[in-house]
Amino acid sequence: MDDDVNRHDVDARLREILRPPGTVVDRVVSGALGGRQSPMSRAPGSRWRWAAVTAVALLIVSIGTWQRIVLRQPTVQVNAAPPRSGGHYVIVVPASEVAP
Amino acid sequence: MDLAEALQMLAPRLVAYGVARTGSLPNAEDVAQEVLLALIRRWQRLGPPASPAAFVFAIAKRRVRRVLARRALMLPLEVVRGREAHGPTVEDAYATRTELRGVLTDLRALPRRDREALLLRAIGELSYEEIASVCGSSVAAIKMRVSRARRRLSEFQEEATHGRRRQPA
Repeated sequence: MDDDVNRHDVDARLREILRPPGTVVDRVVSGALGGRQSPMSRAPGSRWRWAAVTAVALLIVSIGTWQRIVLRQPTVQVNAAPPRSGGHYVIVVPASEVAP
Repeated sequence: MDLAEALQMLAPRLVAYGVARTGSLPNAEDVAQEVLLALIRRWQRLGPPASPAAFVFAIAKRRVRRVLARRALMLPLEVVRGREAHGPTVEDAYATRTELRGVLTDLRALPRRDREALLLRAIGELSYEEIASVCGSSVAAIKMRVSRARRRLSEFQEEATHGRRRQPA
């Protein structure tokens, strides 16, 4: 018996407090009957937008990776003189910098 | 029962269920409208489902979960953009319902499965068999969850009435 009273009280209280305003209910029903698109049903457009953003992001990442792998490889081999030679530094001066 | 009657009967229950689950009236309206649209399409193509209430609440349960997941995902962005603070709250729309905030807090304090079962029973007015079908559980387990949730809610209300502070769940 107590459980029945409890059940009635709790359910009735929930229903009473959560009951939406009549205007909201009318809006929802008329929207559904009119087949109007709610924000949630605009998801396909949103999904396309997210797909485009993801594709662009992937493209940018791939270009960056490609640049790191391919373009950063030196195309001209530089054979520089060793920095030290017999305990002395060797300074290489281009001929164009030497005064005549 | 024809379609118009079903829509009028189910719309307030769906909105109330959405509010209880999401705490947001705009989200609840979106969920209710989408679910009713699904019911209309089903009704027009294949005729009325065996139980329109079970049909719509099975869809509503999934839609609400999707809304909550998306909101959790977008919340940091919304906060950064400063939109969260300006969004209309349920309390704004239900301005005269001073108890609403307390009930939403109490519901959030319940275990998820207990809350789901109770809402489907009290708000959705589904039978225990229908709830078991929607939740993918046994009737006995659903009865236990509903009973436990009611008992906890009664305790919360009693504590609020007598001014005792509740320990956060």
